Amino acid sequence: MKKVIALLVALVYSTIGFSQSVGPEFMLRGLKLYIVIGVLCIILTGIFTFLFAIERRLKKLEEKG
Amino acid sequence: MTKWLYSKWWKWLSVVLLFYIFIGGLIVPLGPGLPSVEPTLFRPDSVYTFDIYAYNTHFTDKAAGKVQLWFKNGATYYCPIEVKIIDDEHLQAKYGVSGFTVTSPEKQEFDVVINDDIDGNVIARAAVTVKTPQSIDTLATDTLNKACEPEVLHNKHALFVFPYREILYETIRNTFYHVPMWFVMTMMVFVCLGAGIAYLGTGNLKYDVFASRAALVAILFGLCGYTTGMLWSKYTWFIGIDWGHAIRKMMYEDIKLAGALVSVAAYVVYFIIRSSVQKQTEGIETQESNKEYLARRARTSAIYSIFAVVIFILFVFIVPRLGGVDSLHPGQAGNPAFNKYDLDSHLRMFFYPAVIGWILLGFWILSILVRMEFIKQKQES
Repeated sequence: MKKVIALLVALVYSTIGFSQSVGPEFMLRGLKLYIVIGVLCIILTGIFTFLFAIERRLKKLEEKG
Repeated sequence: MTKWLYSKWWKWLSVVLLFYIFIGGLIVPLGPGLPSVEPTLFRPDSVYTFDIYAYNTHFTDKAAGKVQLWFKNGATYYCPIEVKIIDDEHLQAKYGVSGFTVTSPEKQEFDVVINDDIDGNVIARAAVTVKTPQSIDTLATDTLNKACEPEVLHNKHALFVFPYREILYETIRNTFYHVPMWFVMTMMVFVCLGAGIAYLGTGNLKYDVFASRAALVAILFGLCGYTTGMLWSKYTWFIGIDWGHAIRKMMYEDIKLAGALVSVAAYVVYFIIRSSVQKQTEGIETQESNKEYLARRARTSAIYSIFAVVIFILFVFIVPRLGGVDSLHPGQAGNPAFNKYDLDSHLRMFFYPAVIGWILLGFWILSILVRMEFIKQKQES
């Protein structure tokens, strides 16, 4: 699990690194972009949490049966 | 075989890849381009001041070095009289042609080419058109026709950006969200077929569960592909057209869209046929056990899934490639292939992980649906 989280962090940081090569104007112009990315990340987190929660419930039901 | 349903590593991999493509795919900027040049029409023998509006360029940046501009006609480059940098994305160029230059009796198109050390070559094809007069003014001087040999340090930009493509512009990012949906649907369609055939071969109801759930996931991703595609086309092919007209045009002008709709409908029909198989409860001779009923339903579904996959292949892969049918999609009906122009190495860094990530998500949803069905069947029995 730790390796997976480390990979996730590394990938996210690498993409931020790419963006810096262009300069700050894109970021300044695209402030809305951060909001979009933030909202998308919240939605994605929600979907994944939901999927993992279902998995946990299914596991319990399978163990019970 | 069902061990993969319970393993978690590939589900976490899907999480990582989807976060990667959602964050990276949006945060990487678009490459430099020239969206507009004004005026677009000019006449010979006068000097015009052209306003050239660029996108994501760095004209005032010191690292950009010398910003050069040419008007290109065929293979010949013409230098402007003067180039003025207004800001990072705006140039003004004074240029004109004499009657001698213009060989065509009607009009001639010039490309506008800009080069600097950061952005490389930025081109607006056929950006300005010279309208020739009926009688050529021979008093025009050659000072307006300075053909020059361009000397550039860098042809390509040195940035980590996505390619700037006319019509697509920033929407090129939708490649990571729209295209993989169809990949997942295709995978699920073949899982449905494979599981259906496996059921017909073995009679194991477990395969029927896989087949029916895969068909459900195929519909889900097909609808997601349709939604992302409709949004994409609205902001590229059908700008300024209301949704009603846009949807009508989509259906008439792109056989692939109509074909994809038929394919999704074929899998909706799969469930209609499946649910139409009723348990026979009347009469002693025709009365069947629950197991017999499930087997009959599974057999009907499996046989239909073979027909459904034929419809899918026919309408998504074969018909759009036939000559004489129209399509706006890349690689179809004479349009340039997707891979040739639009997928550069930077896009590939996100596109391939996107395909893997979405496919894994599809299998994750499939695994949950299959497990739910297994539990349900266990409880019922």
